[in-house]
Amino acid sequence: MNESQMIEDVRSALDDATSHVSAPPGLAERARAGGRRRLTVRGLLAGVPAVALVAGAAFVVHGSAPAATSASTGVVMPAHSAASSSPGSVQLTSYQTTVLAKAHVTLANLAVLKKMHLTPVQIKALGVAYRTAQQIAGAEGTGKQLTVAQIASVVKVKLTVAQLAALGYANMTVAQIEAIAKADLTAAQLAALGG
Amino acid sequence: MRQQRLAAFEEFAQVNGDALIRLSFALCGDRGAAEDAAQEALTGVYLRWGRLDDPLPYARRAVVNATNDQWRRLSRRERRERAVASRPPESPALLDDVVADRDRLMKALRRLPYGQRAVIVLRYWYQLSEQETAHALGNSAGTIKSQASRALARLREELRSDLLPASPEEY
Repeated sequence: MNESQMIEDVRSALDDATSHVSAPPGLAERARAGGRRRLTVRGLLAGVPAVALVAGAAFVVHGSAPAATSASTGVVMPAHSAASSSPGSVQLTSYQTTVLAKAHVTLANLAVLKKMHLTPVQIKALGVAYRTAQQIAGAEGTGKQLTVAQIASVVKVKLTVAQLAALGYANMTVAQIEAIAKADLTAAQLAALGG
Repeated sequence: MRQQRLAAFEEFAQVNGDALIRLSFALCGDRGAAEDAAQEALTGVYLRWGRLDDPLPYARRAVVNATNDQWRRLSRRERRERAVASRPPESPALLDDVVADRDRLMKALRRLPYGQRAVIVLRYWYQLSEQETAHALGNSAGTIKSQASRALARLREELRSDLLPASPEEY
């Protein structure tokens, strides 16, 4: 059988095999319903539950202990355990809030990282890069601010020039960036807390 | 405005629904999986409606991907059972040589790896150009050309070895 004959036979065979197949009634409606459901889910994921945001923010800004307490905002902050935080949740675990609070990480710091569109993996790598850059620049405590050049010398996380520039303007300390890396924030948490 | 948009999408789904389900069925041989894949593809089109210059190539690509996903989720046993159940009932006409040859060809086609089967279906049955096939499969035109050649060679081999019982890998 030559090639063109085989192709012709394939066509006929597929025509035959699919001749009894047609779209079920209401296919378009079901597709639209599926689309609407997906949009709703996206909306829910994008929208941040206000209580979680304020509670998380208050923890970060005030460095409170991770127990149920009342912040100056008057919002009661629930204590979250690491086990209770689901992957899609934007609520911070007690471990995350403690780590961030200890290093005095502010919402502005997180906003910078958010604007840089860094992935959690990049943030982790950045934490390591900051520590290494600090060692290169000379140990002056974890409160030292690093120049873009110093960070760039060790960053291996494929940052763009714009991302590096944003990092430079942020004036974040080694301790802060390390704490953010250690807190292992999810993309959803970063998006929520980054304002 | 929204009504117009909905009407346009409805029309698109109505005009292309059959073709999309047939494409998926040709790829997987399962009616249920084909309907699910077509619905998934149309959902994607609906979400992007207004942003797509030509929704059909997008829909085709989505069907090919969704069919692959649907089919991968099933166990081998389920695949075999569903493929058998999806076949039209055999009639005495099956004894006819032409029908028997087509049946043999379909079995051989379904023994091909998914990528090669997709190339044959899109390129030769759907009669898409190499560029269009490449877009539907997310490959380059050059890759499609070589894949098509390999797929036809493999199909010929399968047909030669057709006297052997159907492989459990079918589908």
